[in-house]
Amino acid sequence: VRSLLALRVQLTTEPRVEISGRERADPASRRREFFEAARYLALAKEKNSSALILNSSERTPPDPPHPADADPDSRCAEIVEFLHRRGLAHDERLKLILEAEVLPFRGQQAAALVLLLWRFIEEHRESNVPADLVAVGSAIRNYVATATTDEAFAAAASLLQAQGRLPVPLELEVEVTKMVVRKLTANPPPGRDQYSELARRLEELVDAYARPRLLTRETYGAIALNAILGLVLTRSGRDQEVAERMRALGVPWFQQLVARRAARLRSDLIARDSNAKFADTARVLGQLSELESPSHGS
Amino acid sequence: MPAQRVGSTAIAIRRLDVVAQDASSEPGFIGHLALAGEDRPSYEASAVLPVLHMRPPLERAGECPANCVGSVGLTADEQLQIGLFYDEVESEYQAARARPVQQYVISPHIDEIRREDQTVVCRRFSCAGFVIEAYREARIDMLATGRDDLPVVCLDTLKTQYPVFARNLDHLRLREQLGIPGDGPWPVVLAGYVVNALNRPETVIRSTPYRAIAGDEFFPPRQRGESSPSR
Repeated sequence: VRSLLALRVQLTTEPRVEISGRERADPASRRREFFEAARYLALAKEKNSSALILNSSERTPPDPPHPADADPDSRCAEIVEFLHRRGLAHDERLKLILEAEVLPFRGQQAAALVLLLWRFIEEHRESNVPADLVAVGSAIRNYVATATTDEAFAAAASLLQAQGRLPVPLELEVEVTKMVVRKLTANPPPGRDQYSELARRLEELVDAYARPRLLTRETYGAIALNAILGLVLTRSGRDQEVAERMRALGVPWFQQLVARRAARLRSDLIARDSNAKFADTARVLGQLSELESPSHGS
Repeated sequence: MPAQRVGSTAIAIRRLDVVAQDASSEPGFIGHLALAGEDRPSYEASAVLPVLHMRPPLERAGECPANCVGSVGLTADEQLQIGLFYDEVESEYQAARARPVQQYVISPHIDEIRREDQTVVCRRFSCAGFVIEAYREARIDMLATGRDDLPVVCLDTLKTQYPVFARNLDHLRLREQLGIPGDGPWPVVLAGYVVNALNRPETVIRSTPYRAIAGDEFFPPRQRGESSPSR
């Protein structure tokens, strides 16, 4: 291990790898550095890159590890640590936000991550830089999925609320409504109208977008579909009205999609609801699933 | 219209038809699938076609030449339904450009990343999986994809299917991440199965999912032991 940490490898014809390491007293740190070094050597050879320089004494975050070799738990800890740094370069922050989405954050790491994600969303949600909005979308998905249900739905309602005269970007509305459906599917609310603020925001979206002229336009249909299903799943008491509205919509292709998704959600809910606690939700989903019956078809 | 190879005669391609590309290493072996991005009344071999596909990452404005085309004669309503599916997935996958390997999955053809409470964070598809699921959104279930419905394939076949990953596929942990742990063989949805599934009458495609057999990784399919024609 010691010899590898001190190693400076120069491969002049094949990939060039330069490694310089600090001596550390902690054997676990040395072991970790050894595997890091070995991993980068393997990666450099595999990529056949012209140069790959690794200097383990630098304090900037390492390049994203080869996915196969990264230990997910330690990578989660690293990401939380790096995201806490105020001086972290913006590009690095974006990369870490994106990477965090596919890592298995749990327990205290998850709790720390949601605070960092929310800070990132707040700071960048009004950015007009595409790369920032991509990362905000990723942070929204991760936040809603990882936070507690109360936190997630309060945040979703807040994100769907227009700020001043600025409209909420369509890209963010897709992410928020889609994640609301996913979160509510995994966590059906035990009480009726528990998330009234969120239900109001979803109802606004249904009012605005579930219209024949808008549904065929890119993205509007996806937002409307998820807003309708989300509204039913919130058990807000407004669902009966939604079912009637969908019956009268007169857009067969969209009604068919609503019906199919509702049917899937209903089967999933019934399979997990042995005490019929969510019978009201299942009933409305059942009504929506009938939109695909021949009398409503194209 | 049954699936067909693009030959010397120009053919018509409709938006969201399935287009397939041969693997670079093996003539006739279907290496990649995509959805046509626009109508082409007269498409000629080797012309570049705008496509929607899972490269990875997912691309709305991708391009690739089509070696084969399969069509089920999508209605305008079905095209809109597939478009909505794409709108939902696209926004999710824009984020994945920074992490293309984690975005991809080989088996099953669609996989969901979930949090502890089982909330889905994002979904991963193979290129064939993306096409299959997009069509399923329009209620067209062209291929049986259950583990017991699929022929098993060995590592060498997967390396032909995924030439970009070929060397990485020797890496055991990466194989685990891609959904193919151990040494195989594995039941995997290969791109060629989709083209062969589309090589049936339209009414049959719509009513009966195709059960792939060994050799369907090629189009036209090959019997076991049949050798590659020389280029």
